[in-house]
Amino acid sequence: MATIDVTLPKLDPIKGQKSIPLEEFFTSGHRTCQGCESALVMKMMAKAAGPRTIVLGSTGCMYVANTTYYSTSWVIPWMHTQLGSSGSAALGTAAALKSLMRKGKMKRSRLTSSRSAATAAAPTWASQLSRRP
Amino acid sequence: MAAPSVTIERGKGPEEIALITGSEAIAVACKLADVDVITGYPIRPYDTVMQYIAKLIADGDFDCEYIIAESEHSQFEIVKHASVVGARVFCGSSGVGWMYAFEALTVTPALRVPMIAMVGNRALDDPGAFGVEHNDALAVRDLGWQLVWVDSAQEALDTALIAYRVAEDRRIFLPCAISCDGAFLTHSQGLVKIPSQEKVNEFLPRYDRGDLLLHPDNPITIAPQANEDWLMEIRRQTAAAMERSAGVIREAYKDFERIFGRSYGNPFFEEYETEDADVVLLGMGTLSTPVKVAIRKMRQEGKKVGFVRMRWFRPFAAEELAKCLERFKAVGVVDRDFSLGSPFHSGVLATEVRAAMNSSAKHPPVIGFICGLGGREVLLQDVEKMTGIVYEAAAGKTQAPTQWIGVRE
Amino acid sequence: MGRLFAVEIVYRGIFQKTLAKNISRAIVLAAHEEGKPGISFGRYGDSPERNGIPAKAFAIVATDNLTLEEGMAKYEPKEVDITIAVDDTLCKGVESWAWYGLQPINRLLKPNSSLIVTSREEPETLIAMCHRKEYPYNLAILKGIPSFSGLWVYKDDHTDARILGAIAKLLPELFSLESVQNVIKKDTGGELKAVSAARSYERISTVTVPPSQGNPEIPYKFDMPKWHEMRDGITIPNIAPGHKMTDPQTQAVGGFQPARNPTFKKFTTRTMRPILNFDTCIKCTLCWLQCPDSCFDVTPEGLYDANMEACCGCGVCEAVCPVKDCVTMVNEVEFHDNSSQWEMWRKDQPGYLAFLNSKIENRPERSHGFRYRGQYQEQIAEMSKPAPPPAD
Repeated sequence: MATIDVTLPKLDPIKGQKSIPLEEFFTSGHRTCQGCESALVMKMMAKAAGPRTIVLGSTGCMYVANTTYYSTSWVIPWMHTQLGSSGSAALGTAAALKSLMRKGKMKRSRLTSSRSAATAAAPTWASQLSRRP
Repeated sequence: MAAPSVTIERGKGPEEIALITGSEAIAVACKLADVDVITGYPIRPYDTVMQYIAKLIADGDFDCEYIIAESEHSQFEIVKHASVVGARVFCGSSGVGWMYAFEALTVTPALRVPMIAMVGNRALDDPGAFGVEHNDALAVRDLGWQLVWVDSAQEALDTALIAYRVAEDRRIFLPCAISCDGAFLTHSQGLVKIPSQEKVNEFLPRYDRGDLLLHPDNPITIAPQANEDWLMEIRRQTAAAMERSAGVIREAYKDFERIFGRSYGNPFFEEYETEDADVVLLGMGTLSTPVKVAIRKMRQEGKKVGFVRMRWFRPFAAEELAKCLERFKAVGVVDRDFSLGSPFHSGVLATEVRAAMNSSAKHPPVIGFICGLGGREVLLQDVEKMTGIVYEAAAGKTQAPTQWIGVRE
Repeated sequence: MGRLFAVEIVYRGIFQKTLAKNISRAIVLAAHEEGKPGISFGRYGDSPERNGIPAKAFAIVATDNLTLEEGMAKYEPKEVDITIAVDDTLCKGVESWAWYGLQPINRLLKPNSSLIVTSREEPETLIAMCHRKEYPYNLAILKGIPSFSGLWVYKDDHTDARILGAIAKLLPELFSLESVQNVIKKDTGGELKAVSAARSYERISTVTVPPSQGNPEIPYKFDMPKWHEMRDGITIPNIAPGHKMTDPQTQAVGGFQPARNPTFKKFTTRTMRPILNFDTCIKCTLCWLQCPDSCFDVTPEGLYDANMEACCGCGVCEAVCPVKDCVTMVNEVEFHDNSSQWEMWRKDQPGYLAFLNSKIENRPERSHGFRYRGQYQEQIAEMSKPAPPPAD
């Protein structure tokens, strides 16, 4: 009998200003423009996705400005990928985690693989929020 | 001053003088050559040429179809096909952008398309440093691209005109990539003489594809698929074109000197202070400036050292270079590139120089240096250190065949 | 062996990019009028530029081409004859894209050479902001507000002409006022800017800054690791997770303070800083949430303290705060350190309130960048009025 493995964490929608978690997973020290809204999106995406997240960032401002000169603003793990490859990168990451957990080679835990493209289009957490467990 | 990019000072003689970067010099050459189709896709540091071309077109100084493709692969595919229909084309890229176009880059010489491309040499990803590294342009060295390195904005402009003349010669019809070091040439403005349109018209004939033109008036099929019965012959034809290329280059430079009054001497490589040198360094691109400054300093201290700057990497003037280098007691090749796992873990240029020297009766030691990757400056003390090592080799003391200079260790 | 000249222009990225490029090019062209060759370039590592983050452009000129080669194929010169700062807050130091740590504004100056700053402040104020130098240098002030514009808009307010005029006076071996005016006239075809250059030439004066004057702090710097000390695979460790804050008065623990990137702080990007009124704050969370640099530390009582090491002065907090005068952007020049406003308030509430009000009342009109669409149109009316005759 086929079973569907779900490795995604259970993320409750965040309702109201006061219930926003205080922890930052994308912090200061990035070399973005003053008032960069893309950096703001990264901060909020990371905050919503939580600590059990891997971020894949393709070439763009959110790569070059955030990780300039061998420095980083990320608290959660982040990896660079090629221009236009953020989908492939996130897919490969998710497929690996799924396969390893299913086969028992990695401890089963709920992880998010989140992609941050240059214009921060629809990170995967958005689709999770609309799913009812 | 809110000046336009090209500041022209009129009345300074037959040629105007402008303060422009190497990229802008190439854009100006495209305008003078009346290029018909240009494609672009932004990547630093080549993208500066896109800005200058766009400005020339927008100001009404240049009539050209200008297309921003959605990737480098498309960018190079578009101009390849424009060229086959008879348009004079220009393209370019840097670093991994150039790599993204690799499929298009591979077929272009096989199809005998005389595309001129500017490569703003940039380090390859990862980690995507913006500074100069020559591996991007060098990656196509086997495929039939002519490759030339320039070290000043003036040379960039002149070489672009020469490249069109050579590439579009019916005996050749091979693409040519002009390499400009990222930052030091693409982003540094120097004083350049801009030739007159009349002189350029005299130097550059119209691009004529003749019986290879893709047009209803010339019904042909280009590049049907071939098997083992055909490929050797097709490759032999392309090889013959590359073999003829050196002769056509010499003719073009002679004509350039006649018309523009500027001589580059030996087209394939420049010799600096080599007449009485004991040892020489050899390299490509803008590292020539710190090397020359260091050589002048060392000569004052009594060291007889010279420098050979390769311009044309393809075709590689092996016999001429061997004849030049065998005069010296030892040679140091400065590679602003890497070639992991190659013989002696050297750089590309060192490996090629050693191959060229193989034809000579004399075998001075050739030391390979890896230097200046990712735009790290080649410092005067680096040049002095390399010269010292080459002198040791000349004196018979065994030296490691490849040495990394200027790395933190 | 001829003479090599180097001039650097330190500027706010993007906002003054065209200004810096124009000054740098004009220097080369003016020198070329007198037969000296030169090159002009931006510091490559500072690009791609970001709004407000300090950047540098250079002009290298020599008496002959061979000497010019000594200054070519470099990222930046080792020393300069003139440093130009086109925004006075840059005097606090420059932490730019191309550098790890803080560079003093006067770092590259040769002994007894000049720092030219556009400012409305007095020399004492600027000197106090600049780091101390081991030998004397000169400070020249070009009276005026910093000229800010954008990537596609250029505020042609003659700052470039005035600076060129000042350079001609301070370094006549580089070029004369006449050469400057020739270049201006060829470019604009008119007299007006050439007159600005001449005025600046007449009026510019310098103050000598001895080694004993200036900010005594040692600017932070980093040593880079050797190749075999680095982890393989282009891998570095992340920033640590943050921690709770401790109230300095009551020792209460709560809230959250993110850990900050140790290699890039970003506070030298500021031309203005937010000052917070903790008494009127309604704890709506908007400033903290909307800050792209995560600079707000959440205090144990749920207030939001803008961390001045991390704040880059973008002004988003002021824009989103729903309470009048609760978050106000004020002149960065008025502050001498990055100390915590919340701690100041916790220590002395009425004293802090007086401090807050004085900063708000006395703030001069200054821009921290491209504030709103149509701003320059409004300013054109002001700018086209001829300047009043000098007070002397």
